[in-house]
Amino acid sequence: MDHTRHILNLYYWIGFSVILLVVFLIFYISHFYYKTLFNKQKNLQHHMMDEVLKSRESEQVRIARDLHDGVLGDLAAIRFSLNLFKSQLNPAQQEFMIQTEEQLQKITQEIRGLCHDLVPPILETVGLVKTLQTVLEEKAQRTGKKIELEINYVPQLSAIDELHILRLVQEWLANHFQHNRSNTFHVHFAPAEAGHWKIVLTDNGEVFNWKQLMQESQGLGWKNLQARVMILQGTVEQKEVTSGNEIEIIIPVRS
Amino acid sequence: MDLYSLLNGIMIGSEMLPLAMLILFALQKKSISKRWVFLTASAFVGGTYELTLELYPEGFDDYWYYIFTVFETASIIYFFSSYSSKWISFALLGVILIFTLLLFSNISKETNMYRFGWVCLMQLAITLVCIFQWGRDRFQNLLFPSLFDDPDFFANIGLVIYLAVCSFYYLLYPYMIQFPNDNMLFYWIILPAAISAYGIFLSIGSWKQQQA
Repeated sequence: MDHTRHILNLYYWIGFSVILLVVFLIFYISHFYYKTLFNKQKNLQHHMMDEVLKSRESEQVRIARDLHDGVLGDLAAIRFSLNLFKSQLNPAQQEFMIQTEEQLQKITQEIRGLCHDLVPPILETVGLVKTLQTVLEEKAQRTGKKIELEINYVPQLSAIDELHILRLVQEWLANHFQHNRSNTFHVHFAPAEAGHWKIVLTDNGEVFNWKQLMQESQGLGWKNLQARVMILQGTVEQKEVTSGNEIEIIIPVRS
Repeated sequence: MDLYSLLNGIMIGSEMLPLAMLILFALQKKSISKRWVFLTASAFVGGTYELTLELYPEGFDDYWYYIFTVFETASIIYFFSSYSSKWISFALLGVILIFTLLLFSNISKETNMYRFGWVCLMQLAITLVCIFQWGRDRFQNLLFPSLFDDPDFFANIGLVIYLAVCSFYYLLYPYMIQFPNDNMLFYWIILPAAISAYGIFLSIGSWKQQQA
């Protein structure tokens, strides 16, 4: 009787332990396999997005070159012809001609600005910080908005990552100009927790919910921004502020 | 307080905790999933039954257990209904209903614990089928960065531990009662341990589901 009881006790506790072990093992293996699969999928998405953005960049370069060499050249030729023709006109006609020339000058400036937006010509030569300063100053002058840049920390970045950061800030501003009615912007580069750095983007416009915006927005602007953050392997967090919005983009420092 | 009362108290408390948490989240106007309410409600009912049995042992008989089992199975099937077609859910519910009715149509006190073990095993099989459907959905859609972010993952672990241990305990019951002089607490201890684990995993899931 005692022997049977001991055997029962032994099998009972072994059985119980095996059940727990098997359950935890199965779920742990599922978790591990899921994580591997998820990371693989994420890397694939990053790669695809990277390719899409790269091809978009090269397309932008082509458009900017066409605009600069084609349309701007044609506009310069038209202005030159008008100047030649101006001396033969009476004063009233000359006044009209001056107005036309001014309009042409404005169009030329807008196209030149567009070319600069499409391809920042100085990024490779002067680096991200100087380029950002120039681009933001230009943007502030063109739009009449207040744009501040505060740089406390920028890690060593590859050329492509520098371009992603520049585009990210440009896209954030462009989205705000279109939808958010903000007039003050603050861009802050700062160190974050170990192995990370952050870009804090602040505005004083209408309050929005970042997550909701990502789910509901039909436009490409915010999605492009999110895609660039993903390529940089960063995360976006919206901070609660008393007025306006504050978006914090945390990016790992890549060696 | 003796060990039995302590374990019983922990078991009942952990069964009631998940629904209490969901009610608290609902009061805070956080979004609560209906299927989570049903699953945690079934655990709550289980806890209430244990508590009532503890306070008024003569007031209930085993039929309450069988009704509870059917309710619990229905809530498990409902919990996973978004991962499988309605027909599969109804079919599974039908199977468990028929199975329970057949098993308990002629109950004798000596064998009903053993039979209850088979019901638990049936519930476990149904749950595993449902979990398989859930897994298929998760691995196809990869919704969460990690399964630890998925509240259902915790419910699944809890359910499998709870049902597997219950089946094991009740199926071995006839062998245990062969030693009437032994302290049954020695064997019974795995039951409150599994039920408490179920309650704790449901609580973690409830917490996660209001964040997801």
